[in-house]
Amino acid sequence: MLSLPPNLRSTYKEPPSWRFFGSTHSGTLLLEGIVAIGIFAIFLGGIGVALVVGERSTVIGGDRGRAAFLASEQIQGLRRIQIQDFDALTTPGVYGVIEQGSAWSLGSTPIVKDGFTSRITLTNVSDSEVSALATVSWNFGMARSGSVMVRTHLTDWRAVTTVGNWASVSQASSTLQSGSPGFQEVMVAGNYAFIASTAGDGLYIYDISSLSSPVRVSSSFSLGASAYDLAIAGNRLFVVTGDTAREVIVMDITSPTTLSSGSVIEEFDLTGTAGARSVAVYGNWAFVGTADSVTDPHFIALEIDEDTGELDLLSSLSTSGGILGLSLSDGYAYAASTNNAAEFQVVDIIEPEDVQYAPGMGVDMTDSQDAISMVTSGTSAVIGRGNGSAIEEVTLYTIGDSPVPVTPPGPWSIEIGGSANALTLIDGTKYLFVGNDSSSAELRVVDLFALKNGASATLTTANLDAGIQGLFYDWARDKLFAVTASNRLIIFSPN
Amino acid sequence: MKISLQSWHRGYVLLISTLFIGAIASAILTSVLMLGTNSGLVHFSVQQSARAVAAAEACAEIGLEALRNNPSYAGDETHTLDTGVTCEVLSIGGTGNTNRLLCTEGVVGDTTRRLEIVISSLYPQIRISSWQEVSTFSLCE
Repeated sequence: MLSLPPNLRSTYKEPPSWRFFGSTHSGTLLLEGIVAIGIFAIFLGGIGVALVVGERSTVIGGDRGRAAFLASEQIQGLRRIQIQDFDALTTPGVYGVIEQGSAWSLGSTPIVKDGFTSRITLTNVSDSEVSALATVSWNFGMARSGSVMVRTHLTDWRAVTTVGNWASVSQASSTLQSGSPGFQEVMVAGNYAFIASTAGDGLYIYDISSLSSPVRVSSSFSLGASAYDLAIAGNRLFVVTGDTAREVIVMDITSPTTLSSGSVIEEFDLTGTAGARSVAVYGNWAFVGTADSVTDPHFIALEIDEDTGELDLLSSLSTSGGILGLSLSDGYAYAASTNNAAEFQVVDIIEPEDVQYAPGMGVDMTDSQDAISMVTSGTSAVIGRGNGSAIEEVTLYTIGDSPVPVTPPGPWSIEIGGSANALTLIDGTKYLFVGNDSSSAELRVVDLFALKNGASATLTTANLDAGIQGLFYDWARDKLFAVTASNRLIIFSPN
Repeated sequence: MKISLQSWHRGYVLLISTLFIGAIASAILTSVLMLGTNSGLVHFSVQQSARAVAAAEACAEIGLEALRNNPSYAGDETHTLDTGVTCEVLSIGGTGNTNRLLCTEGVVGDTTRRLEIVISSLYPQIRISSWQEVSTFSLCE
């Protein structure tokens, strides 16, 4: 209770609140203190628990993170082993991946490190594909246990495909197509050979599962147009035709044995009436060359709808002369042209919506024979021309320093004795195949290295019953497919 | 009188101080709990991410092998590696032996990892000119 001086006692009145707290509830302050301390203690305890729980959560998470890292490390170790020797991974079982310095190997037991046990389980999917499951488990007690599993697949994609000795060739088969279809070009996809023809059904498809006896399939299908060239991208076949109302036909070849009119995805009408002669596809772009025309563009860039396969015109270029052969390399289209002032032409296609000549345009070759075929590989471009007594029909240029060849070095040429209708080569090797209409060497195998060195370049020749119109080298089989003017599909093997 | 009034307010000061400290303690408590929880989520994401990239690499391997066996391989297929773990080989870019594009993605739950691979040539041995992980595809559409 307040103690007031006597002179103030008569005038002072205690405030009600003072009375409440002071007069009638003495000891409240102590109670408040106790309650406050209690609450504080509860909070303090809560913080302690939170710290423990939080720390435990962090540690448990850390265990999981480390296990994930270890599992990834095991997978990466497997990849190192795969690079060295894929066959080491083809025996199913449970292993541990052991790191020995910079080398990795498979151990027969799981790896234990700091309480984490890592194991790899290998199972075979096929001869060249392995499924690998990396499992990392741990058990530190007190709810600190678990496992992490990471699965991947490993394949033998680094295997080197061997190329036979093409210095001599033999025929695996020669299949005659009746009806004089006028075979022009051939391409292979999977177990099927697709042949463009200027007459008959326009498109012929052969099942080549048996190389010794190809069998025609979808024989009731007719393209209804003269076909000159082909390109395949995934499950889509691009056919260029002489039909001036539908120069480019896109077909779904998911099921080559049941081709029908329903397989046609797109029939694209190019400007003009020249008719298409050549086609090449890269990504979502198709590039088409047409026959010669005074007024119409000769080089057309089309955009392919990724989902539907339908085409849209992007841009075009009038090149003065028809384009009978096309090959794409490093952002440029190399064109075999009928232009007598520039048989070898180079088109910049880096921006397909605005195609234009590469600086320098091309090469004016000796005499006036048309260029009719073209193939590129790495820094080399090979052009084939019509038969001429004053020229050598096949010429090799280097395009490594400039898209339009700058000579010297080169060019290097070889006499064929006929029109070089078709060219193909085996990338990274010396082999160039020349299909032509000479009298006794319709297939000529040329050594590109020897050609560059000025040595005798012809490795071998094959004498057929007619000139070769189209060639396709099948890497997967190491076979050469040729179609002839006598309407044969001939499959060559190396010896 | 002034001194006496202060002594009457000691309880309030203690109470307010307690509440203030309590509020701070609550914030710390919440933060610590959230840190623990987030740590768990982060490491779970690390795990999912490791599984997703392994899945993307699996489809890269499958796609490369398919291309080696058949240069006309179209891609555009999905593989299920485990329950809830899938990978996809997108449509293969390019034609023929050189300048091919292979894009894959691995998906585990909400986590997706993507690979863009530029193949300089398929034969005689597959040569890769670029193999990189990307957040969004730029070479494949």
